[in-house]
Amino acid sequence: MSIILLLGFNLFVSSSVPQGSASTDTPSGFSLMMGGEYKINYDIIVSQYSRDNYDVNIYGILAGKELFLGQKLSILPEMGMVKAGRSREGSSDSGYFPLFVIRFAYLISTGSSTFQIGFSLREVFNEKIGTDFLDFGIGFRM
Amino acid sequence: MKKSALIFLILGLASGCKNSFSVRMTSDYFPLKVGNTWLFDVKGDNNYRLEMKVTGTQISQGDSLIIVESGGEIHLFQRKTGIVNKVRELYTTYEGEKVFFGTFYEPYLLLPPLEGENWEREFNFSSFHSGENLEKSLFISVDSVTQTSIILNSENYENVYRIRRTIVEDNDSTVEYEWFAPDVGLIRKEVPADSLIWELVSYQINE
Repeated sequence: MSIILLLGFNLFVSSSVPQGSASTDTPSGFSLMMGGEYKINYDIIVSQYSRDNYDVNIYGILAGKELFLGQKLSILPEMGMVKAGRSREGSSDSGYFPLFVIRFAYLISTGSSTFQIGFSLREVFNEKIGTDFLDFGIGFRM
Repeated sequence: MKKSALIFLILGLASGCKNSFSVRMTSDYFPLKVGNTWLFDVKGDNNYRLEMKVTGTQISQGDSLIIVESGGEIHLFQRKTGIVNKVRELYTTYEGEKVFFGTFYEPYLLLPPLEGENWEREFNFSSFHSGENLEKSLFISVDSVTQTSIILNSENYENVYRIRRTIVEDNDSTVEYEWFAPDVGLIRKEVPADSLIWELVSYQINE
């Protein structure tokens, strides 16, 4: 038996803009996506930020299908699981959540079909842990 | 494709389920909106029913305070981001006269609570009265924050936090245990030294 693995590789580093008037969070993180033969994308999410009088950290993995909107623009609806935790002065609490994310990617033409630079915009819907943030990302795809 | 659809369906269903962590994270463990009412069964030397109600707000020295009335007593709370302070006034009796030491803000509850955390605060006051310098010390500590569930009057409360509050006033110490339920508030209180127990019978919380 042979296994043929065809991987695309995306790395987008992002920082987030907090949403909501009561929010004081400044999440940031990175995502690593690998697009396979069937254009299924995997996305690692890492976010750490302070909120009110405690810290929040979110780690998770998401999967979704990339839908191309022309040559440069694509939309990636993704679902996955994250482990979210909060801590305050040595005490902590955590739980697992399903997460739904929509990412938009805009790719700049570099003249190469194997290396592209782009921007991404990611909306993270995470109302269940009181978090809702917008990621702006920049990265490359090869 | 079918496999992907199934995964999305499972995740979609899972997202609709109630997650206890999100309850603990997003719920208010001490809702203090005006009109909120709690009715307790108090058991001790005398058994009686006690109503606790948020009756209004007042401004004191620039701070907005919440007025909670129970059993003819008025309690003042200050609600700030991530913390509820109880506003207390400290008095003593000296030669038959009531001597006022001062007002202080006791850190009553950290929000949202976290299992295992603890906090403490020490207050020292002095007052010059009838040629004498009177001193008073107060030490308040909260520890043993434990997540639990409890059944009261046939109602099962989950994601409850129980705390132990120790108050040392001069040389007298009092230990109290309090249980707080999500979006309900105080549901049980126990003062072992006085064999006193409060248990919630009913409540009305305004959204």
